[in-house]
Amino acid sequence: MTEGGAILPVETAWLLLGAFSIIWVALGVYWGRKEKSLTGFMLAGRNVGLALGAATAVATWVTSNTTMLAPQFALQMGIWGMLAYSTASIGLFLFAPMAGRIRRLMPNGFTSAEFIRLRYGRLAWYIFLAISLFYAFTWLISMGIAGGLLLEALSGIPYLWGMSVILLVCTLYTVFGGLRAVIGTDFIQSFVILVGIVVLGWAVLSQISLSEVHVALVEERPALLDVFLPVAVMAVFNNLLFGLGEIFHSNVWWSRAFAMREGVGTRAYVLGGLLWLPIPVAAGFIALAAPALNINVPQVNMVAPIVAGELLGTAGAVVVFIVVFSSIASSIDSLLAATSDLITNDIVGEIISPGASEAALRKASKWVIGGLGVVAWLVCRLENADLGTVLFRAGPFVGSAIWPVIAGLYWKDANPSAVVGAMLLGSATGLYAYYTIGWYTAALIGTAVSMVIVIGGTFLAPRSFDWERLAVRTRRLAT
Amino acid sequence: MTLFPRIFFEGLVLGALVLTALGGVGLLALLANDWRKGTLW
Repeated sequence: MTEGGAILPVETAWLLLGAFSIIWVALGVYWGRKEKSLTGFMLAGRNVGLALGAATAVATWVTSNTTMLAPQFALQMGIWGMLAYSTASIGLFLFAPMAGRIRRLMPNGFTSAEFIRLRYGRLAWYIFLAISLFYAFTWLISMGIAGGLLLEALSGIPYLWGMSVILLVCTLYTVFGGLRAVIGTDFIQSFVILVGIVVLGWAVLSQISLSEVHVALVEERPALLDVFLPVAVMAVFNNLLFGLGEIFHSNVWWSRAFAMREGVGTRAYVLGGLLWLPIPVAAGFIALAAPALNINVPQVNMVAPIVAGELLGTAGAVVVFIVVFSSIASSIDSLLAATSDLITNDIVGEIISPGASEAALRKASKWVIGGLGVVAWLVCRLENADLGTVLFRAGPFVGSAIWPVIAGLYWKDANPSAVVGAMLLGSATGLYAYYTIGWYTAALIGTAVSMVIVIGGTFLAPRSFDWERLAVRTRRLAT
Repeated sequence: MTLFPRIFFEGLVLGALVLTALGGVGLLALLANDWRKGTLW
């Protein structure tokens, strides 16, 4: 280890950071050079194929939480911790058929909030937009903070510098290349992440067998192998619902559904889920090997890099650094693009300048991405938060949006007033549970309350909806 | 306390690592296929 507990020399870290930054920005400029239309910039021309579609689902869903928090979960909650994290992939599987339906119902659609407006009216739209923007911004901030903290912990690059470089690079290539740059870099980043995790797993297995890891756990930490670990079982459900709520409501996933070619979305999300499913276990098991390898873990949230650094030295540290950097960049760029789409399409295009042309909105979109990057940087400068809890605080909000989205897509009679009540009461009760019971119950309770209100309200007062109203072209092409 | 048996633990971890590796190879194969057919984007 280097000075201050970092596992990578700071010079090497700067070199890696610089090299990857240049590559990402250059690719952003290259892919963005021909994008002249709003659809091209925001939705990559609505023609994304299977390979890039599946890869972008994987890369976006692999955040620094997956690569860093999954090992932490494993060390705290054992096998159930890893399995709990893996259940987040179920969101990708369940969103798969929805992606196909979204593309068919809204061939001219741009955002998830636009769907809520057309489906349920403006009051539901305001609430949904507030939830979506709050969640997206929380996620963006948590990724920015995680990026700065992780680069500092891994290499000693000061927090402010690491966080600033990551945000700047992601903002630049998203401004230049739009969603095409985001999806293109996502492919490279997802490949890097998959290879990096396999290399780290292989490094552990070359030093110790799985039988030895199991024996050491039975002797030293049997609770990690406990079949009935109550907190972990709760975490399974919370993670599952959190994943569902995040994917079902978030424009990050809807914009990809709009961007994929007709007929691609369903297959791409199923493949993305399959590719993502084993990652928390493959990354998490590295932490479980620590007792058998006699590796001391002073900070549980740094268990993966500590084990990798001990086993592979600088090479292991380089792999972890690249995997973490790719995980964070692939999420930040997606959040910048999708959040900017929400602000540009739903706030600028509907509230500030209704009826604005595609050309005007395309220009606005670049400014919004840049502005988001600046605001995120300012907040990240001030705040310092724990990796897990920042995001889990948003759990009840996204949980309360699951049923409004499902009912809106599949239930012709879904009642708009019930949907409004479901989002408000679901969020409020979930948040109450977060503070009074525990973080692991927040999404569960928010979702349950929301479900009861949507289903009950619709049975009591059904409101028939004409699906054709979703196919409307909301943006005019002329300047 | 009932513990997960060794065989389950080994199968879970090995399975995850093999699936992750296959995922990387599969992504490259898909990319090559889309590239060849001109359906990348």
